[in-house]
Amino acid sequence: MRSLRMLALIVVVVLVQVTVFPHLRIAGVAPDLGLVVALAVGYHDGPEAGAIAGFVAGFGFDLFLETPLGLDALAYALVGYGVGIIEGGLLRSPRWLPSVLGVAGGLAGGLILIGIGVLAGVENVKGTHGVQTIAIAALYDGLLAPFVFFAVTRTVGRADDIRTSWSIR
Amino acid sequence: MRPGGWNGRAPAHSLGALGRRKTVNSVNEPFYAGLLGRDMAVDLGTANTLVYVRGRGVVLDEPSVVAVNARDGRPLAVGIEAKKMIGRTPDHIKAIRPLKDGVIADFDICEKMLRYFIQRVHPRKWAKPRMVICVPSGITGVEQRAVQEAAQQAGARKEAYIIEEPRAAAIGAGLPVHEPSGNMVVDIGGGTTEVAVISLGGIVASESIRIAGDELDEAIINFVKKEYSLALGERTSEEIKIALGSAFPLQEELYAEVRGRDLVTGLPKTIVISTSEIRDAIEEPVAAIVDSVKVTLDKTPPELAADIMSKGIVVTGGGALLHGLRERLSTETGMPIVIADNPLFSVVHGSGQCLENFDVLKHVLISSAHQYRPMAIARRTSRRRYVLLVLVLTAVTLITLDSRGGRSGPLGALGRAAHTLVSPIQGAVDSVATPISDWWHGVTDGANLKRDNRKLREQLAIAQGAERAAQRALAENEDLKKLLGLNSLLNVKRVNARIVGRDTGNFDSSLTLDHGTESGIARDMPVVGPDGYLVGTVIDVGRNFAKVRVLTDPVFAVGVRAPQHPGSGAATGTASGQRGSRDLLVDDFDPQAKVLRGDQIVTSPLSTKFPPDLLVGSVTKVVDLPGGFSRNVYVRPYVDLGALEDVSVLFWLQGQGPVVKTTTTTTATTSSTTTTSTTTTTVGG
Repeated sequence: MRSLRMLALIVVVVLVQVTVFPHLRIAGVAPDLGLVVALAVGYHDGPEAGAIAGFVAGFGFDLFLETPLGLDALAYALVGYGVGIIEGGLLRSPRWLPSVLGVAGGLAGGLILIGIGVLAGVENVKGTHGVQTIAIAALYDGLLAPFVFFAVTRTVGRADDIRTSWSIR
Repeated sequence: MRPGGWNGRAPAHSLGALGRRKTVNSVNEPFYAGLLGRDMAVDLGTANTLVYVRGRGVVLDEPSVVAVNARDGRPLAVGIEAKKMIGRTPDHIKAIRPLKDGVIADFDICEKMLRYFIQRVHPRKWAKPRMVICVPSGITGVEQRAVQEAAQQAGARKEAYIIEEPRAAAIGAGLPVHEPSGNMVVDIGGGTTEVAVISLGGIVASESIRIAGDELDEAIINFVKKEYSLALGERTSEEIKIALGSAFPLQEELYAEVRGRDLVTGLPKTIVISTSEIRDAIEEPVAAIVDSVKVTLDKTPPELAADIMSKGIVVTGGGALLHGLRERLSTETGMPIVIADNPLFSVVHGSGQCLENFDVLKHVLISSAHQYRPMAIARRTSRRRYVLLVLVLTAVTLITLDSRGGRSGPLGALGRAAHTLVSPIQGAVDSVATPISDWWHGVTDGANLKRDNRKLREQLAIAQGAERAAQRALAENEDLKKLLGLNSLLNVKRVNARIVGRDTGNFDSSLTLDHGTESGIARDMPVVGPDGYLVGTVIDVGRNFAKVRVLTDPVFAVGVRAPQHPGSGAATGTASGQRGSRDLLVDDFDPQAKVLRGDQIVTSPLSTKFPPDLLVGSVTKVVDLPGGFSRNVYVRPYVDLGALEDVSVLFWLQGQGPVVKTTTTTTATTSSTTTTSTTTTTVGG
């Protein structure tokens, strides 16, 4: 049931990404919603779930792109896994954490994308233009991350409710 | 009564102070220690939990009690506050002691308590602390795993270390545990009594019984109930034990008033009770403790027994504070008995020592990461890696297949199906979003207005130059057409389409049109703007959508030619897009041919992919490369991709030429104005 809801969320996110966000560009750059979903899922449910969610979201996005199919899937899966690992080392989750994860994850995902893109011979990602694009996209991701994290939490619930049951006095 | 309790381990009024007190200093920490999070040792006792932080000493000492709201399961208070609530709670609040007999009885509550204590003493937000936890030596594997998991759930680093209480107590009492000599330690806690003989850092003989402070309390309750028909609470009986409890006849017998509820009348009642009565009451558990010491001595090898004979037995834990215990043990065993300096803190100090000298004392710890790692966790990790590996391999395979074979086969079909489904939504969103999008661009790119204005002026100038060039080219074109008998573009069938999606991804410069195979569009058809300017080619087409690769894409290439200036040959070459630039680059014009800034560039008649003489752009820069063998010509496309909303797809098939209109279709009718303007431009170009 949880995974079905997760899948539905990813489908919605990919739809929004390909229909709405091309119109909401900042400096000509659109955010990577799917990447932020991978971050949120990896953060809440751990590396395995993050990797799977990232792969599915990235693959869905890839279907609409001219870049090689699987490029975003790979980048998102790696980032979703990575954030799950990092989460294991965090004791608390301050409010601004989603934004920081959004920016850091956006940068990491973008760099992976560029790296693999160069290997796969994607012309567009090369050069300073590519780096500039992912930097702006990462900032945009950080801006959207709190909302996406909230949406993910609401949609799929928390894997363990224990974390929040104690607030620090 | 004495103010402090031994089962309560520390005086109640000093608890607050303890939270801030620094007992151990002068530890050389590396500068990055603060970043990594402080290591901590936890004595998770049945009665009290103590926390030792590396470099700071014992920072927390609270009773192991949690008050829980039974309605929603949320904890209300932890530690000393919760302990005050024992026996005084309304129905919906329960004061729970999550540990029983030295081990975890209520896993969830214990984990929450531990988490609370850790957060109180560990202010670092980022790192998880390395943690050493004390457990009774008689603990089973299952119980040990429960403790480790509780610690990990509560925020400890992956490897939570476990230390057996008697070892920690011996280290904490300052015994030379690493020497080849016998050290005997008796740790009487709240739930368990640990007796162990330690030599060379290892336990030689040990006894762990689940009779300790709590059992004495219970014995007192039972005794008073039987003898005086008086019901006592746990806290009162603990106070009686602390004040009157003894293991050996005292020089002066004491008396105390005890209040409770009379079981016969049901009314509160006060009785007077003496130390000798209490001694009788707790005789049974005390005897059991003394027996366990004797049993351990019985199991001790003679050499070590001789060492103990000379060094004595060290007693630690809250039980060491029981009056007359030393005399009792001494009489029964004939050994010298030493009560540790600070018996309540021996265990936590001992485990703290393990942290301070982690490398030296590491081997006395049991690491969850290595020997005792639960199978479940290991399996989970390897499964996790397996999942990632499968995903990565799948993605790499997809990338390879896709960049090798183009978008064909099942993957291409999948992509086209997704596009077919989404294309109407894109169209709907586009019609709603265009005004919003314009506003958004105004907001986010407002600073660029000035620049844009300047650029527009520049373009105007270019266009004026282009017009003059066009006039010149007009005559030439007419002549050529006559000569070659070419078809005018007027007769080429076309479909008008709206752009519903552009640059879906950040590294993807393509347009999505709202018409597809249903309207007759096929791959590789050229796409032009309303003014007849070249836009790109169709690279993928589905039932109701077509994807267009625009001419600024680095992968795009089109054969072009420059007008022939008097006294020079015609220049033909290939124009292609550049990364991150709006201009096209032609790098294979004949260096001898004359190309000037402002020259109009059109598609070459040699190109089979495009109709000849489609307007491409105007020359903005000519750079002669050193050596005079080649030159770079930069061409600014006429088409403004950002402002483009409608395009026409020309039915021009590669190598076959145009599909000539036979009947006037509806699409063609709607596009008649566009057609006219296109034709005019074409003739002009």
